Amino acid sequence: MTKRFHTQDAENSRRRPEPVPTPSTPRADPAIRQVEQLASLVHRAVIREDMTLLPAQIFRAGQDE
Amino acid sequence: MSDPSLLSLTEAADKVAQGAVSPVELLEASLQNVATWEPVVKALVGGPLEGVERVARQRTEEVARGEIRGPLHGVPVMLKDLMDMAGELTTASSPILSDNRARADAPVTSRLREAGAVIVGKTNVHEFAYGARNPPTANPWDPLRIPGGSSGGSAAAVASHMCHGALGSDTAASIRQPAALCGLVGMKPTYGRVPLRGIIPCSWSLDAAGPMTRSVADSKLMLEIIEGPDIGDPTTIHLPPSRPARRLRESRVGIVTELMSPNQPEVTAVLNQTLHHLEGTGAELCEVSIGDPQEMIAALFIILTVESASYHRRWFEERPQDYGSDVQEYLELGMQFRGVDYVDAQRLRRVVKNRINQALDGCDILYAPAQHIVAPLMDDHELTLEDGSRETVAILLCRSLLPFNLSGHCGVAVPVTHVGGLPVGIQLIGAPHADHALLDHAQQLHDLLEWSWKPPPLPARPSPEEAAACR
Repeated sequence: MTKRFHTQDAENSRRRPEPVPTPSTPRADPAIRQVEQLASLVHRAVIREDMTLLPAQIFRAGQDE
Repeated sequence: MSDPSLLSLTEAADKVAQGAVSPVELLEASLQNVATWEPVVKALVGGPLEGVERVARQRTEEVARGEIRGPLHGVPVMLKDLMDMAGELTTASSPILSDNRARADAPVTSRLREAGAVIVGKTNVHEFAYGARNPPTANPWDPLRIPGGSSGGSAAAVASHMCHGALGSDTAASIRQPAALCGLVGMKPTYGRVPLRGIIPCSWSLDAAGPMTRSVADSKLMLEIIEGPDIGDPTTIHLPPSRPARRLRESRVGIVTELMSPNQPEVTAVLNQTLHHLEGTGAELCEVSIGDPQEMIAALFIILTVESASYHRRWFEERPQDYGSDVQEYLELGMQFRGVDYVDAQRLRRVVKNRINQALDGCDILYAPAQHIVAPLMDDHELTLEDGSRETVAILLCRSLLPFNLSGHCGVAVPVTHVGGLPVGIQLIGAPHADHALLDHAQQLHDLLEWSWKPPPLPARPSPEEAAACR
């Protein structure tokens, strides 16, 4: 017998999982806030600057001349 | 000879080769300064190395036989205590490594020894190179002030004439900043120029090892000895040929706009005066932009803390209490960043490097402050600057220097004057692997300013017990 697919199941499958605390989730700990702020500052700069860099270029920083 | 410890590294080497002074005489003079200064500045880990007198006697006998090992034959030097020397402890000034005895020399150590140098001792470092305060070391120009760090022990030892030159390492300003605070020349070579094998890492992709000396010529000689590829170190490369520096009057000098201020007013006055002298030669000065320093500080902080959290992970999980509280905090932060934060920081790093390369495409050299402040008092944690803003000392000590750790460019801090008895310097930045041209330019600047090293005033005489404890 085929299980009938309920609308509610579809909604459940689309439901986002419980948020896992990450540096982008505001928390009270000042150290976590500092981590979030620094990561966010760098991420905004990356978006502004260039999205096409290759890893090989990144990890040769300093010695590719 | 009155006091051979007053000789520069190059002068000492020349006089040994000529037979005008012996390695034993040089070492005795250095040890006399250790006895005088060490109770005050606490530059050394555990005092002079056992057996150093025997090494100096061997070098002296070799001179008598006409045997000169190399360009540093018989000259006393010191190593930052991150650098391995076979049979000696490498502690990184941390209880974590209190019994870490090196089985082999780091390449930088073996190259100094092959050049004939006499390694007198290992110098204090801020624990695992993780800070600028460098306890318990004090600044020879004013023992109530910090020497800078993390190569603060090397800076204090060279400035107080305990040796003629020392090696430091620079992950986020740690050669150039203590050099500037102690009135020395401190050279951070281009990333990949000097082997890092056998040196306790702070952050693999940022670390650089280099000389700290009392003159530009001394740094040039030490760099020539320690640089070059090492088969066991994949970060090193075969060095491209050196390019000669232009004469000052033909130079185009880029002034890095974002890094020039705010400073303490006396530092700004020195910077302006130095640039005015430079312009007077006919050198062309132009403003260049390399981007927002706050973004660079953030990217460097992420890379540094994440790489060092990886290096320390096992120890930090097993023995967190053996780290100082400041290092614990940094390692905790490093554990909190995500992989994507680290990769973002490496991507921004590439942008910064390209921007600095572009600035150097239009200029021969870049100028920026070596420090925004003079050496702060040990209790200073925040200072007011010329524009009325207040900034933390920890940021001020590295702000103008760490963009070039991020980019890998060579940079040198050179002293230009003293204000109120404290040294003030300037930072010069060169194109990748133009390290020798950078030092040639620095020498021309010193010639223009008629700069010459003068030793700090002697400290109060130590008690006989203090002096004996340092021998």
